Amino acid sequence: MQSLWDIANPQLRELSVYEPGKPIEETARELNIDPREIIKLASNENPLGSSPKAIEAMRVALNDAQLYPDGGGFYLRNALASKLGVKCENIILGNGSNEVIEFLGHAFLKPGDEAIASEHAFVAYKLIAALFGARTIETPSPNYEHDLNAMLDAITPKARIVFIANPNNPTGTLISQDKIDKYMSRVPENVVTVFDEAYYEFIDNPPDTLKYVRDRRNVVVLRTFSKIHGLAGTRVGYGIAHPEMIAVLQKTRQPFNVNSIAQIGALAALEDKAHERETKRLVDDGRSYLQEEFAELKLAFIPSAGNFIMVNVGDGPAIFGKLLTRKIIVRPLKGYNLPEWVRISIGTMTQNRKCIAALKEVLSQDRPS
Amino acid sequence: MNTVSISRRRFAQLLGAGAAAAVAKPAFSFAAEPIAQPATTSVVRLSSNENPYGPSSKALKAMSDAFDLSCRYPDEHVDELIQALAKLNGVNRDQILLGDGSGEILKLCAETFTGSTRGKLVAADPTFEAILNHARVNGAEVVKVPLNRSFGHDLPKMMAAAKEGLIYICNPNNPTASITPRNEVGEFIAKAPSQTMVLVDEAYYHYADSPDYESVIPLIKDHPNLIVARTFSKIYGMAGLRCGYCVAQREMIERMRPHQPWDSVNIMALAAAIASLNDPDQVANGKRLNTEAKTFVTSELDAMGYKQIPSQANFIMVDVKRPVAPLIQALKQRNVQVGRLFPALPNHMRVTIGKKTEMESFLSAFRQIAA
Ligand SMILES: Cc1ncc(COP(=O)(O)O)c(C=O)c1O
Ligand SMILES: Cc1ncc(COP(=O)(O)O)c(C=O)c1O
Repeated sequence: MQSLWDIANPQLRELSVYEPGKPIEETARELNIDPREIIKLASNENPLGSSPKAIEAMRVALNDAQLYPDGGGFYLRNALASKLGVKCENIILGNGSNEVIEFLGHAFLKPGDEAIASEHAFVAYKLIAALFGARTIETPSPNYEHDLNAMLDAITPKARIVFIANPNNPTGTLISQDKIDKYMSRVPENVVTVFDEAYYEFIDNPPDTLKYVRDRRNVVVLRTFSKIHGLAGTRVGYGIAHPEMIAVLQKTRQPFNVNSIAQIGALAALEDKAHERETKRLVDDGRSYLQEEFAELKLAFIPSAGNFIMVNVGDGPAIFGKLLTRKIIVRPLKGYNLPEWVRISIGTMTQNRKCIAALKEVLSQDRPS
Repeated sequence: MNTVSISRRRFAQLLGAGAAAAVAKPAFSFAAEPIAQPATTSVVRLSSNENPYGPSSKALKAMSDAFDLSCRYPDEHVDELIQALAKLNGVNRDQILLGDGSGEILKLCAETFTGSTRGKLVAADPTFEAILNHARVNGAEVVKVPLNRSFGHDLPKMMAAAKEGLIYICNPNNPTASITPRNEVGEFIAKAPSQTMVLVDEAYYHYADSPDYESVIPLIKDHPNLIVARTFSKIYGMAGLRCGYCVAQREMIERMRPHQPWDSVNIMALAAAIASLNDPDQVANGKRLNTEAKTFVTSELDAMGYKQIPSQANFIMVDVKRPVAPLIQALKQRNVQVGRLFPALPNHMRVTIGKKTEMESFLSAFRQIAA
């Protein structure tokens, strides 16, 4: 045996490791500055911070940190069910919605199977499929949008899961109700369709996919507390599906996957309408501002339905590097095969302005005026 | 039930009820309905081997300070904990993998090393069962080897059963609180064929004080097939927060890592774990208080004529000399929760060592029902 890789599952060799946004602390160390000076617009986090109601509840919950969490997530699942108009049995909690994607791989993918995702789709789908030895069929993405017809056409007898990110990260594109309905009328019943709706709450007139859950179709809708509620650090997301689907997914998880502080925080966040409203307003304003500025700078961008915008800066990694020296962290998209683009998460208005000012400086260096 | 409008005060109650419910059922149950249990402070929870004294005050402070970061993904803070754990255990940083509780480490080991094509899982009976379920989910055969007469792992039989796949050694063992002696474990690891993975679960490491016990982490440098799991749920009092880890050679860690979704350990757990490692009193006090309460309850039980398996953990396994199931129920009616029935030892009751006052409540309830 030369190396452990000789006996490890072959698909793991090719698996690229997920690269998170560049850490603030690391950047501060490299630039030799105070971390507080750094503006991180790289991970689609909530610019307003966590829901204050969630924080208040979590503070109280710290008193019981030594007790195991409720492994069944009873109260949070019930609260979500009543909010969404479904039943507790329709919901599974994950250690972030990412973990629910892992449950799906565990439950449905094995070597030889196929998963279908769009080109430039959120990278987790591909990674999970590879982990379970399945092949990902990537369908072309004209105008950076998911092409649901192409995705349907890609379905072979080996296909098990179709991943649809709506809106997609990093492109920010949204698929309309009409297209979803047409897709649902054609997709075979033995294929599981995942609607990843991590940014659902930022959409103005969100398409309804829960009706397909109520109709007991093989769909799983993913949502998260990481974005609109600002709880990315506490790790809690969920999947919504018909009860048998949930029962299948439940089998794949460990008994205490969602920590008690996150459960309590999430419960309180559901009640915090003001924080939700303000977050959406801040993101809407920031999006308008950034998109106007990009237009002014003659930079191509994709109108976004999320709390981030993808913008064509010519040489993504170079601009990322130059913004970094100006204490701004954005996300280069080379890993998404979008080397000309960067993704900028929408921040507070002050952060957005600083980001644009830095971008202007950086671009004027490159462009003869 | 209306769970949407709840006051802040109610949250604390909900947490209590939820947590109580979680432990009132077997570890691997996903029933939606928690077993109804009034969330009153009078319930004595001696059912889940939790630490009654809670996390270090430094950890509580660190978590309070971390609320500013709860809107951020936690990845930036992972390195600091890994660094501290590497130092603590005298290994390199790339030899540590963090988990969403050591429960996730067990899941990752089952996923990486067991399955219909990869190999079976060999575990003791009785032992901590979570990994058995994960192995079955992966389609692996599960072989249970009964503990030997001194409640240690029967290592020769386990080795014979293994060939490829994974051998799980829980030391100290849950639910028996017993240890497998260090010379036996050492010899076993030296002899285990290299294609057999050995996972030693040291969740209760800090509570073991027998001269016959020692951690096998120092053996990792010579054994690429050895993995050791540890947790912050026990001596560090952080069960609700979910943080555990394993130590192994770098290549083993690299094989396990892809099986884990990213951002697995939340920011509160990271902050609390880092702070706990900087508080030397946490371990020392936790051990001392556990020993005091354990000495108290075991001597009372001895006096009543109830023997226990010698305990090297923060719980005891009491021989109740009759089927335990009705006694568990009877205690529950008296607001004392103890461990579930373990079918391999149907006449034994597992009781977590709580605070001394809680052990007094247990003893008085036990006296009533056992009379
Ligand atoms: C489309 C999409 N899905 C899922 C996630 C994962 O979110 P979490 O695991 O924090 O719930 C993200 C995070 O950025 C995302 O963009
Ligand atoms: C032996 C053993 N290992 C692992 C665990 C899981 O601990 P955690 O997931 O809280 O780290 C437990 C919990 O009781 C245990 O008894």
